[in-house]
Amino acid sequence: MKKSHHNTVSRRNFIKITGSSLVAGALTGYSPFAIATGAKNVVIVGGGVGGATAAKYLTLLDSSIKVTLVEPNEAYYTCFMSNEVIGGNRDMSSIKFGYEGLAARGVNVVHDTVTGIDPDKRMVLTASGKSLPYDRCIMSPGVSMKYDTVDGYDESVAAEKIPHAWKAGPQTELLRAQLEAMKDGGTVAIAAPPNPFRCPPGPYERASQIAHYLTNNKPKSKILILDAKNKFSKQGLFVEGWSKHYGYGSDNSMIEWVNGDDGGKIEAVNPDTMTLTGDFDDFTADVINLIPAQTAGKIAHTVGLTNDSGWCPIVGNSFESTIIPNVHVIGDASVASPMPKSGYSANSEAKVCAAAVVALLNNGEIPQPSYVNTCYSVITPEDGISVAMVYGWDGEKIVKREGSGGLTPGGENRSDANRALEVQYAHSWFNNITNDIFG
Amino acid sequence: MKKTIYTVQALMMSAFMLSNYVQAATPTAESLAYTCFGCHGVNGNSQGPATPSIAGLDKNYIADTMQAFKTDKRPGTIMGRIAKGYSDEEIELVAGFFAAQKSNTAALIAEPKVVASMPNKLDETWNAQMQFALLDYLSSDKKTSVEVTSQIDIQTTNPLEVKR
Ligand SMILES: Cc1cc2nc3c(=O)[nH]c(=O)nc-3n(C[C@H](O)[C@H](O)[C@H](O)COP(=O)(O)OP(=O)(O)OC[C@H]3O[C@@H](n4cnc5c(N)ncnc54)[C@H](O)[C@@H]3O)c2cc1C
Repeated sequence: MKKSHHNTVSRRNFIKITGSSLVAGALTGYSPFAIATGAKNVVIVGGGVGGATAAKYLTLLDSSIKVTLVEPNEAYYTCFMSNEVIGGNRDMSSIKFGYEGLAARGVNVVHDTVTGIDPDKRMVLTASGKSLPYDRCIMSPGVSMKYDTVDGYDESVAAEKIPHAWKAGPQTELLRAQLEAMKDGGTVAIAAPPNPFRCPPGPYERASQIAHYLTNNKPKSKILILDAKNKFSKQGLFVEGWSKHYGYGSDNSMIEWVNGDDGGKIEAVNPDTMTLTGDFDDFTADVINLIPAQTAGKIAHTVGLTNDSGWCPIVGNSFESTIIPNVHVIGDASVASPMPKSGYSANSEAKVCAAAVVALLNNGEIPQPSYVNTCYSVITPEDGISVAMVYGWDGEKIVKREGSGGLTPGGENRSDANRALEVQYAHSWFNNITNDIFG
Repeated sequence: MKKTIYTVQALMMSAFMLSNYVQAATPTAESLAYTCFGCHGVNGNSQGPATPSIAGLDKNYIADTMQAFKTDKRPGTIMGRIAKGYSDEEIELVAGFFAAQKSNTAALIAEPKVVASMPNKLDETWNAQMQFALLDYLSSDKKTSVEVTSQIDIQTTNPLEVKR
């Protein structure tokens, strides 16, 4: 794959610096007088999609800002395309990204875990004992799993035997290895979480990828999707794809989907007997992928950025927390509805947030934002589908732009050629967005 | 007096809630264009394999293409759903942004229709993207039969060999 060497961004006119800082300040609770003179510090918590994008765009938009990115891991594995790794069509190395690109842009990358913040002194505190001063802090800690919603499930069970693989990395490899080791005629159970959760079409894309692998390698096997919900993202298109490729709906279907009302919601797991307990039935499987309910990344709870929903309320044109001033939350952890919790959303939100932070630090006006999301799902290597939407800001909240968006055509309007193209667009998206985030 | 104000406010609120279109202001060209990078690459220089590079294209060509997608005059896989989210003014801004960017690929993507008149010496990336653009164009057009699109072998490196 060719890498772009012109990975700089035109920033002319992106930020309008005006004298109206007091207006901006009044709207957001930002006080221009509390900022110390000299270089401004922005500390970013989490080097995933949201955090890494924000770090890069801050350096591009205002090179005078000192950007520090705190992330425990030396490498980031993207969740997107990790379902292709699980299906066997992609290597782990192709979803692995490092922080050299950001470091070369002048971002101070600190490999450490954030343990708290001091909002009065404006300090980010880390496990190794560092206190990092900030004028503005951006948090993009992603999600944490609510293990306590499933009896018998916890982090070590997930790491060793019953992976969720909902953060790409060792659990992605574990699930892949379990599928490879499974006998033909085995059963794979996928427990899909209740809303809201990271990547709404993700569990169903995963089922498709696993079905593709099993069809070609272990065709007598079954996939049981046990769902906490009664409907799911792109359902019509997934069901159509499963019918076409995997016999869904027939007696011989490889995939079976049990909805919440019919007992698909999982209450308990027994790793020794490989059994899941639903409201009505027990389900035994050879491989279990248990994706539990989710909430904002743990650190967001620790520092008090979450409300009763378990997610972080923000103002959508700056992503500044409505709870703690000078702290912004982007990505999955934030409440940015109607935008979904996706990588494309996190990337788009990070750019809006970076622009707002630069404006606020320079006593400027928060720019009018624009946001986009497109989520691709790969059902087979020749059948891709997507959902897309353009979003705007109405002065109070993020809104869908009228007329935009929607799904890949299905049914009578289905085009095989288009579906094959969508897979190529999905891979193009992967190449381009990872270059945009880490390049 | 107070009552009237409340009524007007209530009316405005309900109008507000009915419409999901109202924007506070027009975003800058950059705010708009940055959202395109996810698919079309940083500054419109796509890493491929399929999404076309749009950096350095003619401004009118970009704007016309967006308008054609917006009004369903040009068939497409994704862009018909995206282009409808932008006003005419915003389309002009986005087109201006990408037209002003330096292109990484030697040649420019033209209308699929004029492919036949393009020179043969194109770099590989461009070639692949061009073929995909052509495929997208043909396969999304209900009038084009599957036999025609299946004649395009996306593995070939020379789109000029494509027979229509
Ligand atoms: C199987 C699957 C498929 C997906 N496919 C797609 C797709 O096709 N398209 C799409 O758009 N999205 C997809 N997604 C969703 C996408 O991965 C997420 O929405 C995206 O990663 C959210 O970005 P984020 O920055 O909020 O969180 P993350 O990318 O998870 O980043 C969070 C980072 O914060 C770090 N962190 C957490 N706590 C701390 C702390 N205390 N101190 C320091 N660092 C910390 C973590 O180590 C991590 O690196 C998929 C997700 C899954 C699970």
